[in-house]
Amino acid sequence: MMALAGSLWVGVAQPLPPRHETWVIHDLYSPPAGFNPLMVPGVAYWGTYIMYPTLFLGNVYYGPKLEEVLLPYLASGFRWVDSLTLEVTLRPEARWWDGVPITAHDVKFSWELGKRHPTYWNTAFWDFLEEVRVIDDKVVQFVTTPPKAVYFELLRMLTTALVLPRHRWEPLEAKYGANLTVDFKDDDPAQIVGGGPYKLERWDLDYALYVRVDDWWGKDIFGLPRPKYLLHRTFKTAAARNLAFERGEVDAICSVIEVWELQARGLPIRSYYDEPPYFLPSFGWGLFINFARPPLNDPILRRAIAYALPAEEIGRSLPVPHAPAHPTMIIDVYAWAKALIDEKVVADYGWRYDPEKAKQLLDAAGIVDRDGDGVREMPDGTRLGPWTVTCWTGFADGMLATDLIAHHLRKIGIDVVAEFYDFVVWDGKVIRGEFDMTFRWIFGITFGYPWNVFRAFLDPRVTGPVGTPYPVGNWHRYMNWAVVPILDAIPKEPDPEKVKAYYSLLQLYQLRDVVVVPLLYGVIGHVFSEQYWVGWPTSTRPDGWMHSIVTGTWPGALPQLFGLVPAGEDFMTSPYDTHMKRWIVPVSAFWDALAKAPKAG
Amino acid sequence: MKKLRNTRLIISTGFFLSVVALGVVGPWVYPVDPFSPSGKRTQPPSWEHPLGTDAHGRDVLAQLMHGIRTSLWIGVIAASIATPIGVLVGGISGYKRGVLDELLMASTNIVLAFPPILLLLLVTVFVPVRTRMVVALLIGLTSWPLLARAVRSQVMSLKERQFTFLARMAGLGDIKIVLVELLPNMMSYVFSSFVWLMSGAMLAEAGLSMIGMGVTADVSLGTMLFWAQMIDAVRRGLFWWFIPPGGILTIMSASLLLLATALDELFNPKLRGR
Amino acid sequence: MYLNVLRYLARRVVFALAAFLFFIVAIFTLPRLIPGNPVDVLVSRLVMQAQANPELIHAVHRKFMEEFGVGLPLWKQFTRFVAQLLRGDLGTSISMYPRKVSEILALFLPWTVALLIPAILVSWAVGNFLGVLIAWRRGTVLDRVITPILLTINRIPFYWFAMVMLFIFAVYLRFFPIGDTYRWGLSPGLNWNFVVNYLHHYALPFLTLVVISTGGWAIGMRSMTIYELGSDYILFADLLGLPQRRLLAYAFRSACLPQVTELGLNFGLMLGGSLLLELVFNYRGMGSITFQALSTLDYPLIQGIFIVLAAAVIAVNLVVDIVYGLVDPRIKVT
Repeated sequence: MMALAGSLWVGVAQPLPPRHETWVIHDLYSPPAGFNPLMVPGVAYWGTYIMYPTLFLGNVYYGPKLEEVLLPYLASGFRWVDSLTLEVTLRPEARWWDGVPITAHDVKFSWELGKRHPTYWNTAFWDFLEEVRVIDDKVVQFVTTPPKAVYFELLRMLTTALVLPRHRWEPLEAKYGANLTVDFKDDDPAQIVGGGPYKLERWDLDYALYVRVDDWWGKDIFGLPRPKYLLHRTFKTAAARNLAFERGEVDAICSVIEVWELQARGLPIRSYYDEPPYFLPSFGWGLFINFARPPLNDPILRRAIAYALPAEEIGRSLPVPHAPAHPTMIIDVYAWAKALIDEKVVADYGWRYDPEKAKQLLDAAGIVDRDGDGVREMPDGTRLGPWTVTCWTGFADGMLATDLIAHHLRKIGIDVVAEFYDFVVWDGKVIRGEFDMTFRWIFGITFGYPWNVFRAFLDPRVTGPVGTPYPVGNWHRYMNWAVVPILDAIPKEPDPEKVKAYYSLLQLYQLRDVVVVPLLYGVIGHVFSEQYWVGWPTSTRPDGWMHSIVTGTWPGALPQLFGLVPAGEDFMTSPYDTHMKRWIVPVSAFWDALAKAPKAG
Repeated sequence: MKKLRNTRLIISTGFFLSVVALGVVGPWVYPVDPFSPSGKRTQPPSWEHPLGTDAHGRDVLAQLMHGIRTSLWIGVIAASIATPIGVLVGGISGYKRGVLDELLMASTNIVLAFPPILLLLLVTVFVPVRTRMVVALLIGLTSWPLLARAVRSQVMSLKERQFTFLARMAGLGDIKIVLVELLPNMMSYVFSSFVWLMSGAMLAEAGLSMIGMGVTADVSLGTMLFWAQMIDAVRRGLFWWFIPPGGILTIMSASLLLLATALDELFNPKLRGR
Repeated sequence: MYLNVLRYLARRVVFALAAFLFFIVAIFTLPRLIPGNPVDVLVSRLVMQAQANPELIHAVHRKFMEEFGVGLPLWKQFTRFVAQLLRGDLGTSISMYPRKVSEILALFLPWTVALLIPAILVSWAVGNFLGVLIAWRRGTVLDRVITPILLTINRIPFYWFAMVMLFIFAVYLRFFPIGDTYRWGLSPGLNWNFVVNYLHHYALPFLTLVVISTGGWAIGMRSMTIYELGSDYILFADLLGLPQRRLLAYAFRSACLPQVTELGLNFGLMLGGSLLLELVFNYRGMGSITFQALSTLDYPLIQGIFIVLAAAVIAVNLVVDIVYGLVDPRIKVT
């Protein structure tokens, strides 16, 4: 007993790493459940993304033009053997921390783990893949088949799937079997074998500390990142996190806060743009109107609703102003995305805020108020309402927007009130299709944008009968089977002109049927402090590697870390600028190579 | 002595009525919509916004007035639900004793033993849309046990008193004794309990709302605090936002409690000092 | 005579068990009554964050539905739950998957206990002392001023008072840290650094809790003592000419007994209060996980938390009842 007390007394006071050598970020989720990368994402700790390498690093916001690029990480290059076989060559220098070389066998093993363990989220790409073939120690081939070929998913696989050391994980899999993703937490830092530039040093409920691997295999290729320590802190509330950030205890946070207020107080805090709108748009918000609740499926009524909503005013009334979204759901801020918008379709079928037009549409269709109660009726006498437009309590901006939506719809004679539920209830109702209208998110940019968005909101296959939960998308039950062949063709189509034509068709459906009423762009939370580190990606940094440090998309944020230097130094001397960025290739290289590849027999 | 007691009565009533006036007359004198954003966020008190604005630019004073109404409304309804239940359960239990008493008291104690806020949480979180009525109902249905216990002991002691004994000797039936002899003797107690329950109900509403489990689509004093906490008003020093709702709540609740004790002491001489 | 005591004790134990059973059924049923389920929530959050492809999301959804038995009929889920419970297994949390519920409770419960128990004891002692003091001086200026103040304090909402304390002492005066349990990076243990740091964080929530609950104890004690002072035996002793101090001591002794019972009741009340308070102070404890469990509808975690809290409340009340039964002479004779 005495001994125990004594050891407690003596053995605990570990020194904290020096602040100026440490890069501190946060994560709002609960304490780490462990460091086993096979655990569910969002639960599996983001540190696994720094400890285990991916084949490529991907970014969709590269440089001032915000382009899509790839950075070969574990891979040194790729080539299309034919249109169904992608060959990736691994860097000869690559080796695990224990000195064992990283080989094609590790890749094959890691991918096949995903086959055996269904929660192996990041590598469960078997819906798009037929086989992973080892050619030799440093060459691996990914083989797909015509029905499975979804090139966007292959691209995503290259940039997000982690490679694990087979020599450690094969025995582990034998030991834990099917429980490898549940019982094995891998929370002893000494046992972990990775291949990334940082390794876990120690962790507790409220932090995880990583230390740089100074003899990392990539140091001559990419340079060594300047921060010696990475500290990942967990805060219980956004309030506590914001406080720590303001006090300089945290270097970056990935949420949307009032940067200008902090700047006014003289804090060295910045965001992507130094002037409004401060943040890059992404991930938006829209009004979803349920097709399964007639007469809400009436195209004229839906169109009138779209015309009646002042997206700009709603966006402006939020604490952090949000820009109005383009009706096609394609973010028109990025040139490459904007190029996909078919202006003719938009001119014919699009809409903008015009309440008079909304009323005219309804009047012309005979949707008028016959009994003088201020609410219109359909020609068959069905009253427009009482309906609700829902959102979840606790999401202040959303509640405010929802209130405004209801308000503006009442103005054109639709009986709608805003109703708020707890997240669980609201979400449960929405994914089961049990709602009239709801204010909910529209997906943002990843590889394959805007295909991913149309896939989620137009595809009848991702949804099903009302009452059954379909969490993926199309909560509004848009059952137009004509979109299916188009959606299936896009990811298999190497010809950009044809892809553009397909997107025009999708926009036509979206606008003609008013599938979703996009209202606001969300913003990418990217706020950082220049107190200790400079060189963050901003609109003015040359070749900036903008990447939100959101948990789920972490691996792509690694170059951001390489771009930092201690405050006071010139960030153009960072390893990112001196070593790393020369490897960057545009994603178009992937598509061009694919287009030139021989057609698979 | 009598005069002093009356001062307490007068002071507490005065405080209470002025808050009520603020809630009832206020919106009429100060017709600002508590829901619509003015465009100026987190403004400190000014002539335009006497209590400043919140993070969405909504007027704090207007919200406060609206919130007082909500809280009062919930307080009255919840107390109106809880008082009869408490009196009934306590009365039957105290008068009948025996197995019925044992059962009633057992169930009372179950409810009583559990933290009221947890009990409320457990029930409330599972009501999808929480209007004022729903919240009032839930609070009313969970806040009677303490009253039941008190009424029970009151009835038990009254039952032992001479007049009850005499009434029974005179051949009056149970119900008659309860109605004619006991209840009138307890009316003052029941009334002060009502006041006391109302005070508790308003606090309970605030407690629920403060963690986002209260009224879902309305402004109450509790929801104001909830938003203030969500948007981090304490750390950002937006005192005009979070101090008033809690202060008003305390004044309302405390003045009601003082009123209840003053009433108690007025009607129940045994508690008076010698 | 001992038979009476035994019967009393038996009745208490049976009552406690019945209450516990009632809670288990309620805790199982209530979360499952609402539309939506924890797996949906988990998956929706994943969808929002990760935007993975639909096939994977459906696969994960199916896997979790199976693993947690969420789609099963209610009675099947209940038998599973009871069987687990009998083995002492509280299951696996869904929102903090794959952590065990028992593991989570072990991480958070001690901190709540460390805050709550000392606060209850200190406020009880201070409050009762104050109460007797005021009762002794009843009717004087002291009583007339302090009693309403105590009553007012008793009515201050916990949560709001915590915000005000935090604002004044941490944000404005900077005497204390703004929330948290201890400085991050320290490992809990009996070493000087940690203890000092913990106490520095601990002071404000502790004081808040003590200040607010002292009022209630003092008021209760005041009326109890006054009641006892008015009772026949004290009047008789007064007539005998015993000194006032002795009378007060007698009254105090008899007034204390009901205050002990109140301790049981108040335990629940203060537990509820401290959960809210923990949220404001960002104090590691049951408050934050209760909130998380409810807002993610994490059935196993909700069950775990409420079972533990209910068991604690019921056990405390049972102990108080038993002590009361052993001490109170009246029970022996009836």
